[in-house]
Amino acid sequence: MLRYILKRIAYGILTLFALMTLTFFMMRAVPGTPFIGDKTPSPTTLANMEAKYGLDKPPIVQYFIFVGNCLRGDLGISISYENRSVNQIIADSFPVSMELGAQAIIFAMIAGILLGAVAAVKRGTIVDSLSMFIAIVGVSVPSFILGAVLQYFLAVKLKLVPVQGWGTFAQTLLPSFALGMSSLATVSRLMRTSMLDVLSQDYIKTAKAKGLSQGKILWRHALRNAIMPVITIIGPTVAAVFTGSFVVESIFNIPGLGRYFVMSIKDMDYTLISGTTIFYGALLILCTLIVDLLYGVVDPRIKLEG
Amino acid sequence: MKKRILSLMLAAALAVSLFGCTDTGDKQGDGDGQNTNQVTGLYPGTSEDGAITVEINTMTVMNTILMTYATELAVARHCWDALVKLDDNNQVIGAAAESWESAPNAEGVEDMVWTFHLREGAKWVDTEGNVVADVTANDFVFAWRELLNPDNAAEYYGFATVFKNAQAYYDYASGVEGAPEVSIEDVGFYAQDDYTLVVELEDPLPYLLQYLKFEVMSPIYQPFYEDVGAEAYGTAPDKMLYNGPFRMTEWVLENTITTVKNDEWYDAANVSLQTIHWDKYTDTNTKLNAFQTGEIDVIDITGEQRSQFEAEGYPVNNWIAGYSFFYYCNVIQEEDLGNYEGAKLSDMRSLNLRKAISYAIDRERIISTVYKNDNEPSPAFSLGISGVSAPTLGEAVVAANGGEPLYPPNADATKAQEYLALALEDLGYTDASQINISLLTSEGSQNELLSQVVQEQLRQNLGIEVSIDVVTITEARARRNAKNYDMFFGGWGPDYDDPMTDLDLWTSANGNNHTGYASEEYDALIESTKSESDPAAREQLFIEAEMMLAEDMPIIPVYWRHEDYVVSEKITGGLLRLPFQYYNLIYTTLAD
Repeated sequence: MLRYILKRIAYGILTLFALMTLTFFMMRAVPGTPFIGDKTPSPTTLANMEAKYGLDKPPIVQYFIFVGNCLRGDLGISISYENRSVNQIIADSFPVSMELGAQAIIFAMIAGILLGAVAAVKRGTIVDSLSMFIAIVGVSVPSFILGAVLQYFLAVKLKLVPVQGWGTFAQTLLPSFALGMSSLATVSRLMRTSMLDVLSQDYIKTAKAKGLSQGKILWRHALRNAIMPVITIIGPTVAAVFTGSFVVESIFNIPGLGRYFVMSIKDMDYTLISGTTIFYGALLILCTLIVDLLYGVVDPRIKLEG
Repeated sequence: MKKRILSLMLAAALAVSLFGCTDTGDKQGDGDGQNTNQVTGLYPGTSEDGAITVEINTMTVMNTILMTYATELAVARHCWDALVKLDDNNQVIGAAAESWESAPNAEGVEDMVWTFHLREGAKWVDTEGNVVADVTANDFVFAWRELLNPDNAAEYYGFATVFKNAQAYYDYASGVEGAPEVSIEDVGFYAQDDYTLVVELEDPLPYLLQYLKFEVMSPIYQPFYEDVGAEAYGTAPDKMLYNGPFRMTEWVLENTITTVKNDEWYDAANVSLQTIHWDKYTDTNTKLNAFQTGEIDVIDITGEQRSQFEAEGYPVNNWIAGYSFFYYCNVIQEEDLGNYEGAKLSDMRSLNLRKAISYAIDRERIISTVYKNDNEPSPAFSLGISGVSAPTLGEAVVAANGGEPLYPPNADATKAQEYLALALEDLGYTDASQINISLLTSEGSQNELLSQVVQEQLRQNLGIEVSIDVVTITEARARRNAKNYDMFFGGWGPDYDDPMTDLDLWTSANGNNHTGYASEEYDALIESTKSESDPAAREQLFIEAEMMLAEDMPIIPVYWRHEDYVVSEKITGGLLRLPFQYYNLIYTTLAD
């Protein structure tokens, strides 16, 4: 087990290193520079700006400085947010994205599992059709449309919640819902299929034959086994929710990390691009690792071997 | 009965149009850049007492010497007093300085040495409003030295190069090859005593005060700056000190800034507003929704949103910052191509082709199709905020041109065709289909729509087929700077109230002249304005420059931008939006 974990961590570091290197050279291959806006600075100022951010050195030297700084945990100084460290930007904005993402995932998981399970148990009834309708809507309507529609009806027309902002619990409801909806859809469909599969297994028939109540069968035997495939997609779901939060964050004016991840590319803010990419990369590698370890906890038949 | 309905409708339409637009006289700063609310009860605004919330865009840095965006300067104007500032008529008045006088320099040239007498008793306060120190002349000396410090790489350092030896010092300190040694002590500004600041100019500058009002010229209190460190200064409310009408208490990056009234400010007694929230919105629908639910008091609106407000009879306000939008044309001639690395030899090098295109585009239809607002077809390149013989330079140019715009608002296909025939000869083509032009377009639905409209107009009125090349904004700028394009649409806004801010753009040495236009006559004309001390004669030179631009046409002006915004009924007056004053909210008054 320990050997497995160590091996996975080693792979993770390798992946991260590859990500770092690719990001560094790819962003420099994009045409344009971060310093030229509508107005062009004088050549002397341009040289001073490049010196300030170390861009006056040859790319390979820059690369080694960059790697060295990353190893020390220093992601550099943002170019568009002058004098502000990327570490600080992430430290300020990621907790917001995490809170939003966590709420969205919790909502998607609980509602998705329940919806899927109920649909399976009540297969062929109106409940089944309704839950699958929700799933289809969730998958096919993108979050920016869902967010805008929710905002218009629930906030502007019915005035149940604020339109935008971040700070009160009421302000978190619409964005969490809009962000979690597509994951909810995926989870519920997966749950339904898996539950149907489990319900047709012999051990469920055995349990029925033993005379166990319907509730006990579902809770003890069906749900626990059916939930396995759902756990496997937690990793990708977390990835989708965190990297997809940009749209929802901009619709609801949420000061999260998503906007920096996307806008830094448009601004050619090299340090912020690499900083957010490495951060998200590390986060996703960690999530996948945790999920893999969770398999063993949920299903003891799976052995983690190095 | 029918007649009565008709007349009612007419009256309603008239009322809508009356509330709908304040006239363009606003640009003269007649104090009318504010809303005149009739009470409709439609948009009561935010609920917090004594506070307003306004929309603001980019807020990346709050260290005044590093600022570049008009939006950042707008916040700065509320937090810091420079030596002078603009009043509600855009006239220069004292801010940190109470009075000033000018004198000749050692060589006897008039108006070269200026002495500013600072307001005594002005205080530096921290984010909580505690008094930290007095504001003295040393704070200006320190801030301007930091502006010229190459380590800070301040983009607007140029504002400090009007002082004697400043450019020479900057070049030397930046390590420019061959730059002679200059000490910072030799740069032309010093504190004679705590309340007397003396500056000496490098060259005569009739609009010096326009430079000194610029927010990057605000003072900085040295001991505090050094205490928090140059890197950290200006990155959080507690990492700055304030000497303006407000102080900053909260800043969530890319989201919101809160400023609170500074009771230590010299005119605090006349400020009734307690709090300003500056909120950033990235989604235009969210913004409109937030305005409707009373989460924000002032928002900028699109052409479509404007018609919604007008349909409700709600007043829509309009202001101009002085932006001119135009097509850069790549005019590099074959023989000069070697002087520009990576530049393209474009068909646009034909003056007749540029004129043909200028006649073939319909500026009014571009505005009504793409922008749907009050943007004006530009009669000249520069709006020229203040004129001498007319309220604006733009109006003076039109008057000098016999009342006709230099660029027609509507397409003239006949004239366009005439010029096209000449252009084909210039380029040695036999047929218009041989003309190969691409519109370099940066991503964005409005930019792309503009290119499509122009493409269609050129197809109809000129019979030529131009292509559209959509790239990212950074790539577009890189290609523009490398002169690797045919036509590129861009805008230019003035930094200070003098035609020079616009018209020196097309001199051959200007780093923002991306057209390859290099005219000795034009350069000489602009140079001659520097030694002309008579304002009327000087304006005449600028008028000639405008005429020369229209004749040589390195750019094809399209429109002068107008911006629409709405204000909630909570605000009853004092809110200003003028050129160089993106927002002036200091004396805003609120409904009870």
